[in-house]
Amino acid sequence: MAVEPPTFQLGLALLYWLAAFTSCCVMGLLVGFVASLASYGRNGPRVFRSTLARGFQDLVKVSWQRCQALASLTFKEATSRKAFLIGFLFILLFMFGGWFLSESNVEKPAMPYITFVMSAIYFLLNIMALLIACWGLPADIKARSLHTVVTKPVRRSEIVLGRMMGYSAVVLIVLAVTSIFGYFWIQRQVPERAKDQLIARVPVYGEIRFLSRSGQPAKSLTNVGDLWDYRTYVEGLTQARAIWEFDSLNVSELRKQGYVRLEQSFEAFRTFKGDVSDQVRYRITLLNPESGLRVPMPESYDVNEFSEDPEASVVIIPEELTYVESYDVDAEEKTVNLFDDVFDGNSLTVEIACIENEQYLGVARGDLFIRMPDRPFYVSYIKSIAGLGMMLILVVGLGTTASCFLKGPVSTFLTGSLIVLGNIFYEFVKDIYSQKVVQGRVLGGGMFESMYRLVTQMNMQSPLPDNVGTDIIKFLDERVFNLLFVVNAVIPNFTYFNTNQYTANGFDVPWMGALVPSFLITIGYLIPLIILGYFSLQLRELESK
Amino acid sequence: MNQLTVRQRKMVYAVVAGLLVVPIVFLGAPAGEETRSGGKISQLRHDYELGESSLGNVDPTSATMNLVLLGFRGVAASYLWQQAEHYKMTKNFAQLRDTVESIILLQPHFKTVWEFQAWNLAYNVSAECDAVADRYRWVKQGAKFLIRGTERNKKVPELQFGTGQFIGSKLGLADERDVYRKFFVSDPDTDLWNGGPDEELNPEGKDNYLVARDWYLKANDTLEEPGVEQHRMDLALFLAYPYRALIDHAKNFQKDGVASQLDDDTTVQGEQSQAQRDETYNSWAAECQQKWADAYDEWTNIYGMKRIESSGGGTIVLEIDDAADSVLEELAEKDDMTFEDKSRWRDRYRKTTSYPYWKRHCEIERRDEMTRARYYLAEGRRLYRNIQDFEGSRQYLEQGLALLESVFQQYDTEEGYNVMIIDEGDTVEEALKAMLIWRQVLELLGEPIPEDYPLKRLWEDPNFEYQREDLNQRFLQWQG
Repeated sequence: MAVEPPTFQLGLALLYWLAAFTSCCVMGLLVGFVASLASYGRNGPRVFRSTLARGFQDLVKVSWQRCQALASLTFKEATSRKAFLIGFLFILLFMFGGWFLSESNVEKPAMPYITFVMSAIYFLLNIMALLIACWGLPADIKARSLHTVVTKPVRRSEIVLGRMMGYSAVVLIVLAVTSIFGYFWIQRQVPERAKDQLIARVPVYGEIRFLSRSGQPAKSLTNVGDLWDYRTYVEGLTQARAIWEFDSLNVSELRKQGYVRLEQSFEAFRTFKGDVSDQVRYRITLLNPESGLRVPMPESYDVNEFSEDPEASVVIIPEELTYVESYDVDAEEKTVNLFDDVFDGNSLTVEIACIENEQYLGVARGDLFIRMPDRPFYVSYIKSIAGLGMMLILVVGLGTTASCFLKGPVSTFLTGSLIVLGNIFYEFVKDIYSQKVVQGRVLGGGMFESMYRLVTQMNMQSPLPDNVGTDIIKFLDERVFNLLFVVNAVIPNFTYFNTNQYTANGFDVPWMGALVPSFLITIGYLIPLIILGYFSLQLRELESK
Repeated sequence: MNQLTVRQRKMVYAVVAGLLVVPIVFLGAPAGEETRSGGKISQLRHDYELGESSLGNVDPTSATMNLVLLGFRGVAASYLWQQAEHYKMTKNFAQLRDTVESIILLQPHFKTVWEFQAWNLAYNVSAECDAVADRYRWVKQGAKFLIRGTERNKKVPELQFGTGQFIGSKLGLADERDVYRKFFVSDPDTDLWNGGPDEELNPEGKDNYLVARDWYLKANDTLEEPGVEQHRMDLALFLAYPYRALIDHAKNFQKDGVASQLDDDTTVQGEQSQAQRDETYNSWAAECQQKWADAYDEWTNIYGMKRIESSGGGTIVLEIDDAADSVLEELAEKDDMTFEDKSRWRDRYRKTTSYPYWKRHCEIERRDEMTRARYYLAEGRRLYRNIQDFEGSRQYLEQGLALLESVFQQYDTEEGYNVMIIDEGDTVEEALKAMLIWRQVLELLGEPIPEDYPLKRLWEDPNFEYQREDLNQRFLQWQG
């Protein structure tokens, strides 16, 4: 299982958000201005200005006490509507959860159990958050109980915010209870021999570069024809190398530990089977680019590909390293200190070579990392749950805002669609976008080209005929792609919230790779959602139900 | 009713409810472990084999999942198949395994799911691993998956047959066969199985071919149930597999026994050691001959006398002897055909199944001369390669080749050809290899090749010139 190192650029993300937010604001203002002109004629600009001014006041002068009171009211309402029943459903699911994980077996790893708990929480609480957030406000409007609230000295922005806070509190309480239950369920269900997989490894990833078979710098190495182009392959017994540079290491912590632990998930590719009992082997050389020191590790190591035991793929580099520089029998043994001599400040450079003739070693950036001291499983689990919590707050925000201007079923549909789009559509469009950027074209084309290929039963690779029709199709597809990219820029990326891949594979959930993006996405959407929700509720005629 | 108090009304309701339970129990009680138990509906379901339980074990989760999904089972199954392919491509095998588990919850009686995904695990996923123990673990996963398929689909003989193939052919014919077959009786996961076999696959610790044979026999038994068919191959070939597995078992026992037991004893010079070796040999030889005799017996007396459906109408038996002929005559009479017609169809099926070849093969291998010949040849090779006792090697090789010659002679035909030379390719190759070593030994001893020697005609046969050259190349490369 490959866990790709997280990539998240904070500065770029903030800039991106600012651009999207400004664009949305400008568009919103334009739409509002046109609408006010259409509704009030000459008085339109004045109404527009006064609405904006009041909106600014309402949004800035929010009373937290009133928000809390409204949140508490919302909480009580949700409780009376038996929102907590979802917790019982969850517990019921766990009671029979073993069924879904097949009757076997003692050989099963811990991963499916963790995935099951996380998925159950993910789906059930998503539905819960969706329903209570989308149906609360329309139900209040229908029952006219909201009328009582709006007659009190309370701003509509406080109503929106109070609703969001109240619903969030409900789902977070259910999340806390179910996750505690889930934690103990995992501890109880995971087979004894897989218990050691319940850890939170802390990887430090480096940057990778390559040397070709002739020892020259290269962008990538051999392609062995694997459909999945995640890895590139180091040819055995040539000068081909994969070199990782680990920067910004916490040397004092490593020094305290007394060794450096490298963990790998390389893949072997054989051009011939050879002795089936022997594995493909690799060799590690530690480099100090500053001093030019090269320290080859005395042993070579088995690939241990796809081993379910993480310890099988670990190499311990001791503090005191004894090595010989050449293969001569009389070569002198030398001893160096790992932290003083091999480390270049707080950086470590590791070179990997495949030592089997005519065999290959598959490598990717995430295939080698320095494993810092492990943390307990609950650390990773809590972080995963925190990620889910942020997602639920966002769903509540989306649902509440939608319910400010739509009726219950329609806002449920809208929010549900956004969740689905944010999970599936986002990745789909991202893939299309990267194809367009990297290859200049999308395999099979856009909507119109795909329709043409379907009707004419043409495969995805064949070029279209060179005529006017093709030009029109390409022109139209280009517009559709642009629209898709714009839509994708507005839809929240839900994939960051699901950190199951880290927890289930025994990794700690990274702050910068998962939790910080989750937090920023939540905040980044809540701000415009509150503004949108406020104006929707402010301008809504409550009597129209 | 209106004059009754609330309490009295409740009592009446309770009595009515109690009375209604009686017909419900009578009609709808679920089936117990005994066959034809339960309520009337359950009994009728059993009689007409309409219930899911008649197809195999029922998994309550599977039934629940299908209910919960309402009409979207197909959509969910398609999505899961795509997910499984994605996980396979991205080598996320733990997730692949779990996705496959979800697929079978949705499609428990779709034979192809079981076959396709079991092959996926045992052949495609296992090939991705580099350590042979890891590869074996995935082959086991595939076989276990298929076994679960057989439990859920008791009337699908192809699944039982497939399990036999996994355990017999996949373990027995792969490049890693020697290691796999050892792992089959002594699992590499010692923490779990304490050095014994994986009891989920091999509870009795038998050879893989014997376990495969049990599965093939189960498939044959299932085929005898009314209304059950198989669509994998011609029936005569399908039915032959348990008996072929017994032949494979004997063949591998012969090969394993000579190689491993003799290699253990490295001090051949001592008298006591020789006695030990003789005892080892005698015990092994007796067991080996018995296995070949059993294989011959089952091939001729059980498989050869099986009534096999013929495309020419009715049934036939494959064996040819007095007893079998009288059976065939009876069958001809019953099917309203002539004996000649029946014989013609019998000959066709004998060719299809290579029946005479396997019969003759067992007949040759069960001979004492043949067992001894194989022992002498293996011993001669061992002395040459491992101990460099060239004189001893020469003696063993000459004795072995002489014995082999005596067996070959018994299969000379009046037409001038030898059946063994034509049909017994493995034996011919073994003889050629032995002669290569023997010639090398003579050269090392400084002695000329004699004018006449055993199996000279084989060495000089121009049909084997290419094979001889190839073996010679390999011999020079590997030195025996």
